[in-house]
Amino acid sequence: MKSNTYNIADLISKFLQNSLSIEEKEELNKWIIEDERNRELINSFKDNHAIHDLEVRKQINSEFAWKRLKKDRKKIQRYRFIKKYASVAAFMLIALTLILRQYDTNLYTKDPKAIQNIYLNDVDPGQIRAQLKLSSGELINLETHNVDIKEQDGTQISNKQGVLSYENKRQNESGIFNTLVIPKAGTYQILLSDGTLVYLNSMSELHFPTHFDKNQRTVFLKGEAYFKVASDSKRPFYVQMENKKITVLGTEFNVNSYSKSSKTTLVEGSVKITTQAGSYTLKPGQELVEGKNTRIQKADLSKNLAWKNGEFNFKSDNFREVMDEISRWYNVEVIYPVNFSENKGFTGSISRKVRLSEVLEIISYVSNENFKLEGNKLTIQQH
Amino acid sequence: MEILFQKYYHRLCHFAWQMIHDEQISEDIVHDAFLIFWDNMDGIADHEVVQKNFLYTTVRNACLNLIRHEKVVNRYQSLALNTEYEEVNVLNKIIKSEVMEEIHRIISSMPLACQRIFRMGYLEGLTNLEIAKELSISTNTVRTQKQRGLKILKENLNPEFYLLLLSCQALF
Repeated sequence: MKSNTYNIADLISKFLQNSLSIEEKEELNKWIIEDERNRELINSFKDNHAIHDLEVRKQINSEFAWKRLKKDRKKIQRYRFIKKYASVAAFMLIALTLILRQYDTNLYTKDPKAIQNIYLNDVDPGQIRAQLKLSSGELINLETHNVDIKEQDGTQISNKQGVLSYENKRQNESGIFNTLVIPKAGTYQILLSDGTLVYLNSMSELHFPTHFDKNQRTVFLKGEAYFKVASDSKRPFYVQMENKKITVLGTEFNVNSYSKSSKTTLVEGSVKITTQAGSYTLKPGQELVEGKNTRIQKADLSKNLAWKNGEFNFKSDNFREVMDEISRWYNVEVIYPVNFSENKGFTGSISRKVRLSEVLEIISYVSNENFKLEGNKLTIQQH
Repeated sequence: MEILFQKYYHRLCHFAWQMIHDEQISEDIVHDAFLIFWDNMDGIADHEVVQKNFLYTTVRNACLNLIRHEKVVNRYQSLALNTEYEEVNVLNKIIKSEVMEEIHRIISSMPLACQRIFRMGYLEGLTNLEIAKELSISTNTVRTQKQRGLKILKENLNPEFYLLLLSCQALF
């Protein structure tokens, strides 16, 4: 905020009241000629241009707004109070348990509860499946459609064994846009017209042109994808996402952006990620973790790329994160019991190609949680 | 806090409205900004400019985030967010909101009787006789009030400002 701003507002007000001194008049005129938009601003107060503004202002009821503000503030303070003492209570409970343990080592055995998972049916793991949306809006189911497609601008699209390939050598203006949509329990690969290969995970979308123009290559991504960007020094590659932009220069990297704590992992080459919190450049083997405190750190490549290699790889993941991945790959809805809370860190790797019941058996044993699988609803049983 | 709230609420809502053109969401954004301000009050100097800077900045950022999100939702339409980000545009919007507040104050400070007659005479187009009947006063009184109103205008306001005043039904 320039310190001048409020001063100018004051001058304009005086101008409207015909009470500017000579120096003030000069000052205001100086400001007006600085920028065409300043002149436009002055004009907007004349005649009846500002009527709508005044009407808008009239609609606002500040007494009502104040009452609402007071109420919300009380709510927030109450919540904070509870939160503060809840953690104290939890701490004391844990402390108490530990103390008791000292005295009762005989009684305390690591006896896993008899696992009582209920499976009314099983669920197959995710498959190679996706939908392609052409520029015309037409939706093509790639699972069943193995015939080659031709887009309006002549691009040849071939679909074979889970890989969608785009053939178009043109580089004049940017081609028309298609969207590859991966549903839950789906995965697909796409070879873009420049040779870039993209692996897409469940619940992801890639929006891309049939061919790129000669200055840059930009695609739009939602969800998770692994990129093998074809080298082209004349045309930087950009991945635009909801709240960040990744600048790439011939490289391999993975982006996981399902939630606010997004993670971008660089395998090879170089990327720059521009977010609200700033710009970050990664070196191979590093990852950018976004969230409360955005930071670059060493990446666990086997963990971050596990999905692409057909595995689940959990490393101190919390239960909900594990369930989120399960939910996406098996297309099930996870239902938690009321007041569900756990603080275990999961570590382990499980193949993605097995049926859900097998995965759940393992998770159940490790976490002591019991599941009930009915249709596509996975319920975590109350203890 | 209440005094501060009443003082700045309207202009901040107007400012947000200039950016996102939605009255309802503007109020929500300003509401949130005040909650944040309330939390941080101890760390903010008790000085008008400092307070206004904090509030305008918080509101501005919330609006820009909203605009950005809207653009993504609109199927990746335009990446040109530049105009909203340009400093001059934002500063001028702040100036406009501040001046609007002042205009409102000027208009509200006109004597009430004046305001009413002004509206009836100039905006609703009633004749002096009709006004007199409606308000149960004499036509002389009507004429006097009109003169007084015009005098106030001429003395205090820039002629270019008259039309805005006269056309503004919302205020009276």
